[in-house]
Amino acid sequence: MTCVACAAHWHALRYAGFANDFRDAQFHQLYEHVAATSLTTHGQVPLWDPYSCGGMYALGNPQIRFASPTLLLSVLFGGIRAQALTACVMTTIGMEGAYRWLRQYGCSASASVIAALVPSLVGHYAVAYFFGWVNFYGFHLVPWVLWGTGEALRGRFRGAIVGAVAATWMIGFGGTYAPLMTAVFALVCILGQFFYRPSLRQRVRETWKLLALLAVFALGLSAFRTLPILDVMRASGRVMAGLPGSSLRTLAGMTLTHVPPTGDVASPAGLFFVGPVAVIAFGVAGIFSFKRSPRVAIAALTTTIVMMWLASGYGVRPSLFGMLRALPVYGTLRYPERYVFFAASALALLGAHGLTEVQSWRSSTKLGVRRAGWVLSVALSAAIVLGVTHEVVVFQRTTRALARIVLPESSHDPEFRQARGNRWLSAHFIPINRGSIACGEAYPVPMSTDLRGDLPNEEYLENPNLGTVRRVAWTPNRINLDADVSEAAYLRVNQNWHPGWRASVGDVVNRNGLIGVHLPPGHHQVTLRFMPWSAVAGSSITALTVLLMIGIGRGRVHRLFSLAIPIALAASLLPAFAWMPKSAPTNPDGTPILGDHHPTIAINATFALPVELVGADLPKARDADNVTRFDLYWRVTGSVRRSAAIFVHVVPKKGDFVTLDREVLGGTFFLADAPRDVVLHDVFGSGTFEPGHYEVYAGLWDPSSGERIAVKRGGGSDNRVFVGAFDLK
Amino acid sequence: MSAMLPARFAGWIVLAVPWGIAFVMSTKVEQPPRPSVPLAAQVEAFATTEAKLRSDSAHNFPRDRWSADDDFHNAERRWVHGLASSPAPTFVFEQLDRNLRAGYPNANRKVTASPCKPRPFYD
Repeated sequence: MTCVACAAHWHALRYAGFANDFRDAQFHQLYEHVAATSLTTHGQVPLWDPYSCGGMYALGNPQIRFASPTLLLSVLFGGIRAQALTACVMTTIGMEGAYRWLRQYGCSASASVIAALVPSLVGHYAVAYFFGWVNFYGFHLVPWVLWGTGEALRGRFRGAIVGAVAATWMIGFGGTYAPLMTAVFALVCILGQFFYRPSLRQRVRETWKLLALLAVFALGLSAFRTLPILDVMRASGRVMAGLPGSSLRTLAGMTLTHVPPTGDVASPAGLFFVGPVAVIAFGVAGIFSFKRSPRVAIAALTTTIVMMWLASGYGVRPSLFGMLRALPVYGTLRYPERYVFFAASALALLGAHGLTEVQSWRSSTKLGVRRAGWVLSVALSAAIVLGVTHEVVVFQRTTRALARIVLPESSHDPEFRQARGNRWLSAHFIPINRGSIACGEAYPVPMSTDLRGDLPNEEYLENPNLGTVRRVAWTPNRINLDADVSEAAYLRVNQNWHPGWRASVGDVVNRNGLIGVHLPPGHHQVTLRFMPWSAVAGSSITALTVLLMIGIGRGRVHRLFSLAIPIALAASLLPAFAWMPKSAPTNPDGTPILGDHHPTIAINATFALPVELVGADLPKARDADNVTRFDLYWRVTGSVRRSAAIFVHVVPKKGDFVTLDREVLGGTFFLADAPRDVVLHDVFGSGTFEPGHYEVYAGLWDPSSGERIAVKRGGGSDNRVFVGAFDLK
Repeated sequence: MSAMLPARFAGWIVLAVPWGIAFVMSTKVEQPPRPSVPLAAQVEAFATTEAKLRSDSAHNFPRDRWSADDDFHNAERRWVHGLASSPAPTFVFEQLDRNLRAGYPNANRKVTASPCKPRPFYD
């Protein structure tokens, strides 16, 4: 298995000293590098990352992968060089887990070995490596969660431990999607096990106790990571709109055809390559699975179908993915095709089970059956191995195609400073010891508009006439300053504020999003430290959970008692946290969505849904960048379905109208999630309008059905509301 | 038991060999040379185009400051990659950083951040 994993990653390993030039890889490499150097150079736990986005809560960033054992590789070999090693190790671990999981279903060792390779080499791992998304290798821990679940179902305590550790590793490895998706897969697998193993149904209560223990252990162990993520996401969660989906034909293209030889990973073809040979081999072997145990075969086949249904997203109606998205937290899921990872595992189970059946024929007393057993097991094994070889070749080809760069080692200036930066090339700021205030994260990082990339000093007084500030020592989590002020003054640090920052003198305050310290008059040695409550409380819960796991393992703590403590502790501590406050909602141009608004045009139209179009401001001219600005004012007064959206039609005197539809108001709220009974200011613009006369119409519609929502008051027969007219010169 | 030990270690040796090769090869990575021609003039020339690039980005992403900023930085990336003699981007950014600091407080060039606000549509 190790050899196969290394063969697949050969080009990655060969060029381990090179950095990945792809834009996403740039900041992923930066995160890992900063975490490793925080430990090795500064001797600090990597809690705060001053190099990215003007300073961010590193442990709370859902995408970082350093909160896992593979950080050791980055510490030993450096963040960039360790990427390939990490990918290879994770793949090996995934293969071992898949092998053990298949063995749980009674598959033979030889069938399990070769079948386990297939889901572990799904083309998306190679694509993820190409993009620099090494954190996607967290999906390799899925079989370990399943193996742990299976052991727990058998009444074995070690299953709860292994499942919880695997889930925690997955979360620490940057998988916020992986655990959520795995939970669905694990649930389907558990139901499958209840279906094919009648003995489980007879001891449901005992079984569920251990499963509950696994869940509590996972929650407790991962608290050091999940509480910081919760801290960040609560303040600035990502809005995910759209109706992603793939037809079955597209899914077939993703799994059966491979990435073009040019390494064009932008096309769906080959995105989740499994290969026709492996799929056919598993399909044929799966036929024999029905003979060995129809219930296992039905469970595996049903799981494969359910996972492919989920993978189709909104492309197949009714949409199972759509139903899943209606659940809390699952609403942020995107890229449903990632369920192909799970479908491949379930298909591998079907294949390995069938291959085990034909292998068993080889010991039959009947010569014909024995011969058939030999012929079929050799043929099917060869076909699966051929499929694996195909996967390895495609894997190598994809990882070979990525653009590589070498980063210089030296830094001209040992002092850390913020630069204007460039998120497309952020790794290039590592050697010059500069942070990038240009940010390209996947969630709205709380950032100050006062961050600057040209300051002579990163720490300064708001009023320079009141004294002086001098940096004495700097590390990511701690800054020592020498301040001398003649009267009370505000000191600023050119980094984003977070409530986890504390000062030895004065109070840490939020100065328009920057770290500020209100200093008393006098000469002070000021030490700023970053120690957020969510990290402290989360780590405490994790440590307590470890102690409880050891205690239960030794039979010293009653199991039910262990369930109560972490839950009670977490519940009692959570409200006490100095949580990151929610950011004030803004439009993409920075205009506040909430506030005291006075539209120039009063409309007051109402709809069949509890939404009102209160008013509007229409453009009088284009701005200096030839952009035409529109302002609509809405009010939501009751419960609205998630799919409700805004449409805007700008109709010229001649020609087709221009649509400026808004599924997400201000890029921030679905109408369903918008604050109730307040006026919501929605600002948007367009650069397409030439001089002329235009009429503006607006209304509500449902993008999933394409139907407009009826206007109750203030609209025409076409269920549009006339907003007004304007002239552009 | 003792006979089992070599077999157990064999797996680790198999794992260590490609790592070792990768590690040795990765230490042989050739450092990019410092540019032979000073970059100051090229960076200065780019600075004069920034206002136009910013305006184009604002037009491409109307009323969306983060996207417009990001579009500008993409244009900056293209400029870096398109420079004659292909200097390592690190050295270009090093010079750009010096250039911006020398011009503090840079009234005519944007040196502040546009808070990250990813667009909600990536499906």
